[in-house]
Amino acid sequence: MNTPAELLYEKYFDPKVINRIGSLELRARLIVEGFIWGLHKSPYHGFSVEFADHREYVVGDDLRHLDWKVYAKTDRYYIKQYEEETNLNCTVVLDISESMHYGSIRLAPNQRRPGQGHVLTKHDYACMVAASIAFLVINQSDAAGLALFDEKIVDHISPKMSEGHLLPLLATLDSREPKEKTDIGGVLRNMAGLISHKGMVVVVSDLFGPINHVTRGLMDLRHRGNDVIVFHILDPAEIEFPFDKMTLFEGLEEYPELLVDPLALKEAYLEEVNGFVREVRKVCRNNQIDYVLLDTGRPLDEALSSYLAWRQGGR
Amino acid sequence: MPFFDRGMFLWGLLAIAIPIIIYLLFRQKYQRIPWAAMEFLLAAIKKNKRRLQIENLLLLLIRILIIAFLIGALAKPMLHQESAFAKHIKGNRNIIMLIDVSYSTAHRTGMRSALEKAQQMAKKIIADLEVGDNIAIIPFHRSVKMHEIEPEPISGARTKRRLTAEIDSLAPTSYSTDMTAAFEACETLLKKPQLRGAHVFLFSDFTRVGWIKRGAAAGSDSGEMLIIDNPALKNILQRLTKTKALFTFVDVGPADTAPNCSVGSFLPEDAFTVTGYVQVFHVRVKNHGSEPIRGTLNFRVDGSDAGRHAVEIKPNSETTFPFPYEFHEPGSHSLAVRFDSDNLMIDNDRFLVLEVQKSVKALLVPGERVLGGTTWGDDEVDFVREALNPVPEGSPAQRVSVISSNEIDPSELDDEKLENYSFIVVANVGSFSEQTIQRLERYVRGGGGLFMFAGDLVSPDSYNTMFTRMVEKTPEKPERKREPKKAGDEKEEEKEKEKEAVLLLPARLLAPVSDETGHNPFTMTLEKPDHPCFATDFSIPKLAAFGRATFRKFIQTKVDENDRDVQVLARFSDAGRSPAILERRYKRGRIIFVTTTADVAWNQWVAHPAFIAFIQDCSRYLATGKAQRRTLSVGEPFEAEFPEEAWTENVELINPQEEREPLDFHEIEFEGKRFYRLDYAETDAAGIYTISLNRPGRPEELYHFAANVDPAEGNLEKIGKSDLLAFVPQKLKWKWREYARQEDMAESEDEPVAKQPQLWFYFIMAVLALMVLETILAQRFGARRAETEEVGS
Repeated sequence: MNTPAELLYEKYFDPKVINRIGSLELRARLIVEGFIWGLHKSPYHGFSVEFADHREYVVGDDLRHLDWKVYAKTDRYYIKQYEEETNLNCTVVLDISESMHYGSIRLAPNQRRPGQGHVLTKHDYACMVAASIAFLVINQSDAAGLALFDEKIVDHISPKMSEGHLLPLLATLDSREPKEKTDIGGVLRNMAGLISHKGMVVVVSDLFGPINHVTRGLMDLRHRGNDVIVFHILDPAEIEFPFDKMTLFEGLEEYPELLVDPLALKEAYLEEVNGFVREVRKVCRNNQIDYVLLDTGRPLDEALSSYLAWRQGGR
Repeated sequence: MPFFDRGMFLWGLLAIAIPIIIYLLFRQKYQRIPWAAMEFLLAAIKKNKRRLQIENLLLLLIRILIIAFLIGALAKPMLHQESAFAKHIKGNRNIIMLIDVSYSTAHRTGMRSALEKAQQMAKKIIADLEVGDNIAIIPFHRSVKMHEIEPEPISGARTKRRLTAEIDSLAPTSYSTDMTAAFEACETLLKKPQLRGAHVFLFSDFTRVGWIKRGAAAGSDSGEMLIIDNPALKNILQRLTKTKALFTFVDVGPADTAPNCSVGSFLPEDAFTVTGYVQVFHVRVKNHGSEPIRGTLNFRVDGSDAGRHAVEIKPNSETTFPFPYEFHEPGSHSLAVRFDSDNLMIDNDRFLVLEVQKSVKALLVPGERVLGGTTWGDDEVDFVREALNPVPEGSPAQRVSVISSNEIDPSELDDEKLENYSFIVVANVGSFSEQTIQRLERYVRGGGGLFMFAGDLVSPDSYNTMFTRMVEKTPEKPERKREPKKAGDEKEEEKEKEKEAVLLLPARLLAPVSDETGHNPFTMTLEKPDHPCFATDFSIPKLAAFGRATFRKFIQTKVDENDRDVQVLARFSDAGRSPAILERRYKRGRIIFVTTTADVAWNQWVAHPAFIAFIQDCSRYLATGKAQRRTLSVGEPFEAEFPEEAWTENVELINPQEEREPLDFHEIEFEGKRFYRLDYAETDAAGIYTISLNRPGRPEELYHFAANVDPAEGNLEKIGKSDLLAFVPQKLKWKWREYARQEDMAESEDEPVAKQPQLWFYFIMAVLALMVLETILAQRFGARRAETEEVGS
């Protein structure tokens, strides 16, 4: 019988995803404020300027830091770590508003993960994204934290770098179900205030809210020196609007019901969605925020690994 | 203003609700989906709401229009330029419609019968009327039910619909036409303030027989054209000239005289139909047209086939076909003949109901009777008895007549059941009791025949007194149902009953006249040689005795020339040409009075073979009174009396359409005896009527009677405009219109009808155009809706 921890792992970690991203790094593009050594440039030049330690070489490490002497002695690749490198505080900010509860992809019994329903919701997908990012960060010896929000921040776990920290993160993910409406703009602004050190903020959300509030919140995070990544989670139905029969749309997050002919509205709806995505993408580009549109119909391993590889290559 | 030739199709306009219903049903049937991206949906709706509404409404409107135009096209709309009659009723908004519903209007040429054409045109006129106009519709045949007709003001569409329904409900009757009745009704209505100076439309097939004097149609058998000679009708038309009414005569009949055959008569050869004897029925079929007509003549007895002839009737001629038949059961039998040939069937049927008897009985009452006398001729009625049952020449043992006789004294008359006899011969009876006269009167009234001879015992004064009876006047309509009497009502009824003095004899008897010298006896000449009493061909020398038989004495009579029920059948050769044989029709019976004796006392005629022929013919004629009651003309009321033992509560009448209705017996008391009478006046349809008597514990008893159409109406010879010009008074304002053979109405040559623009064609074109437009728009709207825009990643 699986322990609760194993169940959580099984629920949120897809072995395919872990396999594909396990060898990748999520490095901060900007200078971040860590307390210990790490992969990332530190703003504190007087801190640990001497050689500190060795660590095993992983693919992608700069060959200039290979300690050839150790190699000669042990026949293993070690990297010399210097004091100017620091660790990364990465906070995953996850949207658990009611709109994240939507999903249109039906799952076959063999596709379902433990505790998962018949449908793959955006929330399911977003949780796996959050868990995978946390795993990646902690796996590269950085600190990972988590914040869950709807119209306010409902849970906040400060970043820690120990491997044991992953389980509380997963337990927190598992403890909440989407049911409230969202105020992403306000939440992101609050989040900016909560993060005391410049670090990485990974926003995982459908970003449903007034466009100016959303972009304003993202910019606030960014202006405080954080390296911000936005994983914009959308369901394929929200992207394609594939309905052809008369449909009564039951609004989530306190929106009213609407009886409409989808065919008549499809064009206008897609214009609205595309306009929103274009605007968010534009704001992110202008503010050096990574914007990643994740369609829940796309396999997560493929989506994440391609992004991480892209990000790594772009460094 | 457009009108619709097939207005019923306009109900199809309800189908325009179909797209709306589909639209609403479509809205009712939807899937339910929880949706997160409502903000985008709301924004999309906000931006596109108006456009979508317009698109949807536009498509819905086009689809509704397609259905509306399609239904409109099916209803065959036409531009109501000014209908053929609208211009006539423009100045005069009050209309009288005389619509001929005689049976000849059932004749069909092409799609519609004459009456259907009349209905179509009448409805067009009603459609042209406006609120405030007045109209009276008079269906007529040989009479008009005036009590059912009142001028009707048009108060709106509902009135028009009701009038249209009234027109639609008209159907050809079994009656013949009499234009006199129609114009009399019209005259009455034109006196009403609402209809003064109204426009009168007369819709008829204008058969000539309807315009000639009633009863003169019998002359149509000659095959010659009937001349309009109808003073009564002419007088009415003359009076109508003063009403300032405008008449439009609309001929809805066939363009020319249509070919038609009718069964003119259907009669038994012998007035007596007795079981065990072969009766021959003669059916006369007349071809009124100018082409020979072939067909089959079918003869049915009591509903079963009894014979048929394949016949061909030459143009304008008639042919008689015999059907021999022997009855085995006495009682009431129904017979029918049908000639299967032409387009007007009603006059191809003829019906007959016969009372078949076991034997025919005659009651002989001699005034002088030698009891126990052995010499032939001692008895007053010896010659009559012999004549009723003669011995054929060469075979003295075999008597051939179906008549059996019973002889009684005058004093026994009161005890005899007279109803058992077909006729009664009274010869030289000096006096009758009051009761006897009463019984004889009642017997004749019920259809019996009384055959009276004069003689020495007959006292003119006494006879004139005895046979003058005070009888109740015949009510105009039979009482339908006896109401329960209240105390004291009887006296009032007595007062109300009007009585009149009626002489049962055909004439008042005067003093006897005799050839005193004995050298110049009188001879007899026939005044009415065509009378059924002289049915035998007296040109046969052996029988030609009316001219040679001599008469020594007779009783002179005084005939009331104004009495239409009396006719002189033969006269003597005296200076005053005194009547020799007289007839009085009394109610349903007949009285023949011979002013000389039935024996050789006053004449030698009785010893001549011609006397045998006369007695045989007369007896048949007198005995037919009862039989005739069973075969009527349509509309003639049926009356029959039944003995007390026939009474039952369960009396039903079954009409020719097999519909049953209850009847009630009316009680009559006479001489302390009760009788029951059945009356039935609704003999509107031709055919066999059956009276069913159901008495507990006894099998159902059936009595038949028949009603026949007037065969003269079957002569479809038309009266034309030129005939009317000659007949109708010049001062009468009238116009002539014809409904041609085609379905559409055509006017006379001087007023050709403008071709009606047929809107339905444009409606169909509109449907096609709208369908194309709908396809284009739906494709355009649909394509735009179907376009999907990829959301970039």
